[in-house]
Amino acid sequence: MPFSPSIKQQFIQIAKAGCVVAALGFAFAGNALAQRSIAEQYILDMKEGKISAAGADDHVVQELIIKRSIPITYKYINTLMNTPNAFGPGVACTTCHNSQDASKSYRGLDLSTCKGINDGSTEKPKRALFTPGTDAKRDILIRRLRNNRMPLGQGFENSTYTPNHMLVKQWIADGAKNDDNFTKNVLPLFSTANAFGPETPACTACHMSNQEPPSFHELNLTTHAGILLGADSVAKGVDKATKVIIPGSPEKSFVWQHLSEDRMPPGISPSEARDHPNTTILATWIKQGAKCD
Amino acid sequence: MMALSNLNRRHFVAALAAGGLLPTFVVSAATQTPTVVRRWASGNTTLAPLALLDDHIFFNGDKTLGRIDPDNAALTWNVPHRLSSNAVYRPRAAGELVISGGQRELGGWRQADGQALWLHKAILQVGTPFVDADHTYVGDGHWLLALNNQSGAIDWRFAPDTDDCTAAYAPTVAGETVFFGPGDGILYAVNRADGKLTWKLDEKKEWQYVRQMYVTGKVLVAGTYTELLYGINVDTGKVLWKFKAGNFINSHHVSGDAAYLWSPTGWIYAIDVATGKVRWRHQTTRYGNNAANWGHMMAEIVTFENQVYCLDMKQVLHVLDGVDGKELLRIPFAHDLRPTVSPLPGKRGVMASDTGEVQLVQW
Repeated sequence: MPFSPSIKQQFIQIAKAGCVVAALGFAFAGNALAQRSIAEQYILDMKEGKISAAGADDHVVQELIIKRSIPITYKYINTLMNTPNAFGPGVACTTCHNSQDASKSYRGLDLSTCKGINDGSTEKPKRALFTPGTDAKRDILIRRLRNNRMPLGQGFENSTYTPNHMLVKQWIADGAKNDDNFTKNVLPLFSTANAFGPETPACTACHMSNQEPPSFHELNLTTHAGILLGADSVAKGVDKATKVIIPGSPEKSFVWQHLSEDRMPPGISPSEARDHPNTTILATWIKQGAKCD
Repeated sequence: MMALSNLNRRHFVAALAAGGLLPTFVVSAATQTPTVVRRWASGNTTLAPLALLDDHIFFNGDKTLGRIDPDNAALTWNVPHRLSSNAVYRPRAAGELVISGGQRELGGWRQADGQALWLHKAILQVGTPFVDADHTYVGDGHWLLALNNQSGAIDWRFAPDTDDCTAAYAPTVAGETVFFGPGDGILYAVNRADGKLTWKLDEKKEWQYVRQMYVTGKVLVAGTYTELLYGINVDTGKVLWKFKAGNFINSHHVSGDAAYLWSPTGWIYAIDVATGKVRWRHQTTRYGNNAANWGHMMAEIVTFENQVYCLDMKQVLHVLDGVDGKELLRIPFAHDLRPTVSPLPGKRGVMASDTGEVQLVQW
């Protein structure tokens, strides 16, 4: 029995309505998927075995905060800056860096305000501490919290302005050339005990070759070619080795950074793990844009 | 007054420690002066770590490859390896073969007399090999190669997901699987017979490349760049545990159900391979207390007869109890050594001087 045109029209309307309802249903479902709460997602990850194995010091931060893109607030960063032991044993950052007045605060660096953190050091040479929105691992704020000064165990009380330090800095500034100055004055420093601090082994004691077991960071400080080649050259390959010397730029050169920059807070021991959970959070805040709200 | 004059420094330090006035790790274990009872001039200026295989020592370096019977004053054999660069890893042996090489070549020599059998020239850059009875598995550029031990021919090759990596560290083998971590943040498990992919583990968020790998039971213990040690199920690739050493791991050693490593944070760790938990740790370095500290650790940790042998860069060999990590003995050397130690029965060991000499040492 054929349907009358009116009934047919009603079916069509009902069918259209059904599609709309179905579409709405899909839309709601999709929306629910997109708007699944953090807790719901966490439970789902648990059920699916997607929670990574524990072990790292910053595992909690990595798993519960970074992996779930939880925004880090400036309020928390401000707390860190004002709290002793926030990044490992030591005074609060703002004890020494609390004003842009360089007569009262080291480097005119004000870590007590969001603007101050973003401005960086105001004393000449002015320098930003990071680039918002980027991975800050190599930038000075995070690097000062992670990297130990070399030779390992050097305290801040040992000068970084010794004649030997200055020879290395000037050599890099002058282009890191393989010349008589390098051969006679600079290269021997790397193979001399106590060259960069009392009671310390020569740099080449740990960084002498590419060999099994590897020289630390596969770094060879015994020749000009080895130094310019850089670190991790075996595993990464020669072309992708991490350059430790940037000719003309001591401040960008890892060798100079490691010789001259004390890990913060001052006095922290290399025994402390590099990836403190709060350091990871600080780096995440920077990567999220270092926002002040 | 008399009592004071009799109080020598060692007693004084022990008394301070007993009173809790010094950290316990300052208290020295018994010290034993080593005696070099036999020396073999290798003809090399720089020796790579030594290999102890079936009670014989194999060495290689910048010039030669050789074999030593510790009970014989003469070298069993010593031949120029004719590599175009230094031999840089300890020799490997399988069956009648010994493998040696550098970054440009890898070759096979006959164990019995040092006769050169074949040479593989690098396609791009040769890594450190793993050798079994039939094959030598080695990275070359981004590839994993299976070289036939009889001929040196390439029986199969495996290419990872990208050619933008360099496979420098040794693969390892468990059962019918070869494990390979070439530098693209992925661990590959491939079939031993034909090099076909079995599974892969993408952890590039955590590591770039895998350094050393050892299999014990069903667990692959992998050290990664830079400071994570992984326990991975060999059948599935599931990560069982991670241990973060706090600073980069240069090398690690696995024996039985434990993994051992030194961290520049100043600790030697013994890690339970089944759980990844710290079984014990021994402090080597208290920064700011230089006199009492060990030197840094360059040599791979070695275990022998339930003891852990740690050669530090102050040329002191520390012997720890494998059960609890307590230091049992210190053996200070008066001359510079290469970062290698091979313990032997009877309180002996084989060391390498920094002048190219292989030494049999008694303590």
